[in-house]
Amino acid sequence: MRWSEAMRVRYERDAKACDRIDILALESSCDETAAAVIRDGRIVLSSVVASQISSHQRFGGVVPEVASRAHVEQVTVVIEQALADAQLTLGDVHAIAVTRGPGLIGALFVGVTAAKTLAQASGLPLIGVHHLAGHLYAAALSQDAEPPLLALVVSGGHTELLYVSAQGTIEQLGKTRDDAAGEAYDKVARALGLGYPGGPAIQDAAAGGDPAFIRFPRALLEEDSLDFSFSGLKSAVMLHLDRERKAGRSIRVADVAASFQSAVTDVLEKKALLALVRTGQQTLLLAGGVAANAHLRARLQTACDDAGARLIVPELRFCTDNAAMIGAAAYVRYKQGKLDDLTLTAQASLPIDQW
Amino acid sequence: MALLAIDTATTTLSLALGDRAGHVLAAWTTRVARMHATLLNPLIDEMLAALNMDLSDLEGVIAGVGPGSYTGVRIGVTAAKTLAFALGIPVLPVSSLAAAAYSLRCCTGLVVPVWDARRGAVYTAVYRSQHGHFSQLAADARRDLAAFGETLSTIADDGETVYLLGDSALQAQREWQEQSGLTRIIVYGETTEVRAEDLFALGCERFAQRLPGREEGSHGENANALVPRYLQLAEAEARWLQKERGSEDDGPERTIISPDDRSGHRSCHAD
Repeated sequence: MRWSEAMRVRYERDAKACDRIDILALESSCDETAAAVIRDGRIVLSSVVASQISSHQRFGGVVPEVASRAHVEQVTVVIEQALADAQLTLGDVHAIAVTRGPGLIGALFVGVTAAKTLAQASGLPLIGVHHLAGHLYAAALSQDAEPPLLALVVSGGHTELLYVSAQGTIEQLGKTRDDAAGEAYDKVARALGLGYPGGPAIQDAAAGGDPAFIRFPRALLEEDSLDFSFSGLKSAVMLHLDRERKAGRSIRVADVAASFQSAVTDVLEKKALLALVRTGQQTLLLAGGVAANAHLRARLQTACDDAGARLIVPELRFCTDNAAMIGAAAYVRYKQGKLDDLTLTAQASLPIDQW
Repeated sequence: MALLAIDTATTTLSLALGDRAGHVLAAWTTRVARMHATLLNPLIDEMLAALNMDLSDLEGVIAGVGPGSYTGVRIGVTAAKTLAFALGIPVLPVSSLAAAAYSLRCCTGLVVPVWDARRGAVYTAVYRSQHGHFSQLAADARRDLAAFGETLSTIADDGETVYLLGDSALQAQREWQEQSGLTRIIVYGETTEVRAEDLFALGCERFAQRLPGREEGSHGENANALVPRYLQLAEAEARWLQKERGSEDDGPERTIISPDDRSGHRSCHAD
């Protein structure tokens, strides 16, 4: 039987008769090779993440070719582990899901090809997922977060304000025009000699620093804009470091880190509040790797309390890149019958409204 | 029972399905730029349907592991290893260069694929095809094109014909024909391409020798270990290594990795 028929038969039988749906999901859009098995979009049966942080540390950032090579080495290993942890075999799951974009194209190809091949070999439905939709549905794994809601997704590759409707459609309200917030963290951390990844490094360094030491620029762009820009801030930090070094003064790392972090948080907080007011939403979801930043979480919590809104932050292990969130998002598509075929391919950029 | 050969390392996306006795049942090659990832799985599906077969009929996968396009080779290798993992069958790596050279197995002489590897370098290897014997005389490696002519002239017998194939074949012919000892250089093909029926032919004999029955266990055990043979470090990695080792070492352009390295570890040496 052709895969398209086998998969269709399987889907129609399972969607009708099964009281629980287990999805095997893959994620390889950046530097984490991940696989997970998710039940009904919210119960994590397993979640395996093979991080490449140690192999990128020496470069101070993710090198796409190094990442792609590591994905090929890890991909079947994490799949095998995810199935073993869930105590299931490939024949037991009901669908295969994968991040199809956006992300590093060479890295995405590995996950997408592996997912297509798994679906083909097991006669299972295939579901391509938008990486950011994954970050949004991460909330479903640990928190009761029903749309409609406003989401702020902040990571090494993304800084976006998204509106998720009750029907599950996603609208982009604002995005970064240059560097992502996490990217700015990485670059500033490297300039300060704090190592990679920059988020935790700067957070630790900033702990004893004075956030008012230097007032770095806060790029708010046009008055009504929900877009972000962090490259000016990054340049201002570099300029300061340059000036201090040329003058022969020692760098006050803790103060600079704290001042930088405070500038980033100010902008994120202002824009998120503006978006809450603009959309009239009562719920703000903070997702993405930078959600791990305690300073940002605390500031947003206070801001949301003051505004009478509810702040939702997924468990931290589901904020950084993982496959569990891809399985959670894929469940929505499974329920809607929005399945992909074997021509599914990776896309480096992918609008969120097409997720 | 059948074996599936897959190669996506070059401009061609090529598939061949054959039986254990070495007969090719179907072989398809497409040359559609930047579509390997999109088309590979659908074409496998089409091929099986045309043969009225199922993936469960496969007892092994033969994977073209490069060298070639980094992104390209990863697509075929990822599909091959995932297929082997999912079906619980073994997967055999075969050099894409060797498969290209093996298409000339009926000629007599040296067969030298020369595939552009940028910065004046080529992915190359040397094979001798003679009286039905096909043997490898120089391992797959990334080599400086201009300099390799001299090495090749020491390998070639007096007056032996040298067949070149690949996108750097014309250039190699120009550079090498001045070398003494290389009097008969023939450009056999000017494109860098692999046909999976050649990959299949190379792989199936080796496969038949070591392939246990499906019921005998320990299948797909090498699926996790299968990776492309890039023959070259990622550029950032090469630069980093160079810095670590100090300035007397070779630059990234001359960083060469040879799959001969028995330890299985990637190592660098100048050619």
